[in-house]
Amino acid sequence: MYSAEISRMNPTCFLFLVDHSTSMQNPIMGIAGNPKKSEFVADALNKVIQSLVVSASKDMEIRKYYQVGVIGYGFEVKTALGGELANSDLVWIDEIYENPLRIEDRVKKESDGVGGFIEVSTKFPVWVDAVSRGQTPMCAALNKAHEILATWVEEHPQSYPPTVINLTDGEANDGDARVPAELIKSLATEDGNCTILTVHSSSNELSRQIVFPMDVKDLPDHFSRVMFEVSSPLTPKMRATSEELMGTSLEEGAHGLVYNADIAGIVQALEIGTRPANIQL
Amino acid sequence: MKLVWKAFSLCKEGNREEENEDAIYPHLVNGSSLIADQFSCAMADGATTSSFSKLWANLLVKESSLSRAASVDFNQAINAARASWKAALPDKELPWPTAIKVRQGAFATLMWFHIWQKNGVYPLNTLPPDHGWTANAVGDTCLFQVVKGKFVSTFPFTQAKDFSNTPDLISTNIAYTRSRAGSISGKWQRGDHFLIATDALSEWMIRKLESGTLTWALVSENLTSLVRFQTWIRYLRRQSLIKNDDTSLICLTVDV
Repeated sequence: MYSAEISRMNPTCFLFLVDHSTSMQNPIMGIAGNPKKSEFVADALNKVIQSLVVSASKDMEIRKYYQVGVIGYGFEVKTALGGELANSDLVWIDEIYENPLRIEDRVKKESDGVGGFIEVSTKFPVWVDAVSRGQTPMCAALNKAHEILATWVEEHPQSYPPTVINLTDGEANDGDARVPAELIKSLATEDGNCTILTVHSSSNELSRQIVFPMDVKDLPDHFSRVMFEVSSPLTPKMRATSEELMGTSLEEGAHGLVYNADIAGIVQALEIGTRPANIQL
Repeated sequence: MKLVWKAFSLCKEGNREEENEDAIYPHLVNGSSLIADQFSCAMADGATTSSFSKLWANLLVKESSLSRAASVDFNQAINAARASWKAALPDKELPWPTAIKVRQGAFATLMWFHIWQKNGVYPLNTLPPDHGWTANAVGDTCLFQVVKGKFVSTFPFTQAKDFSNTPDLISTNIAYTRSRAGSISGKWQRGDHFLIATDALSEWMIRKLESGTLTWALVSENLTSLVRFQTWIRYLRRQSLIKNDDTSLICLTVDV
């Protein structure tokens, strides 16, 4: 299970659910001067989408290895992709490449190959903007994800199963999120069930970050335990990526939840959830 | 010495043949007989995840094969291939994902094989002076020697468990090349066959060797034509006996 090769014959799907509630305008980890949670999450999401585009890039083309969706939930529940993509729940990765909202010029540091760093000017495509307005209708977002993915798994029975990554800072205020989450997790291709990862961003610098817990008892309160139950156990490849990035091994059963995630925690969780390690040589 | 050359390839199911990233050098007609004191050939497997890796694999096999004829050091040949790869990239401004992939570099395995009857121009002081062969390899493209109809050695891998999704690779970016080439050498006698195969078929052959069920007859009966080879590989794929991947094989027979 979770070993199907990702290819144009058998693509996979990444669906991001992004909390657009008003509380997302607070600074990440509650530290004044830090970026707003909504801005940091949007930036991290744009980088992840960029990585997916690059990994699907082959010579001069972008191969249809993935379909990607971004559903924002706050004052409304709808795709957070804009422009030409605003009416699509799932978009092929080559269409994503062709339709950013804008491309910003940025500078980033890269290894010079001999132990130092060089500054490289780079294009930074933006597909999603920060939004923070409204409540937290997480159940509605999960139900919409279920609706989208139920069709997807029927159409791609041999594919690596879809990955849902839920980025939030709070609890659902429209019901018990475990109910629609179970519906998503029950969807499956021949290669395994859909997985849900939850990245809960911290609102308080003193809160302890809990990364990929093994047991619901590792969580401090009812809300975090609900988040644990919403999330799937990590797949073997996710555990391997996690070990590579964080240097600590995870046992089978570790759940795809980062609770009270700090800046690095958000970035790592997104990479672990999306690294396309299964395109074969 | 007289050598008989055969080479076959089949792209991954679902891909177009022009997307086949296995590379073979030289390009000879199947069944060609070659009379030479020494001969070089090579096979490379370009990595799907990198861009312009078909180009890279083709440059690696060409430069490494030609280098021995010209007595050039193996690493120099790879550096020459690196320079050629950079020069061969499109001149126009690249789309941003392509530019990132180019900075990351292209990757490929390499198996280079050299055989001689008498001492040639290559400095062979540590190798058999006559009737010898040597091979350099990075990655999971494997060499098999068949003596008197029996498989007697495999290189660089000897066990099926050696294969993984992360083989050693040579990169266009020297900073990302993870390993040095392994090497092996030996003697040949009339009637020997040398097979070189990319990972999907190599893994199957080594697994069959481990179970004692690989025979020269089983392999050779599928090397009578390209159509026969491709039919065989498609059958192995359908039976899930080999992975769906670009699959190539060189068969060099010493006919003296």
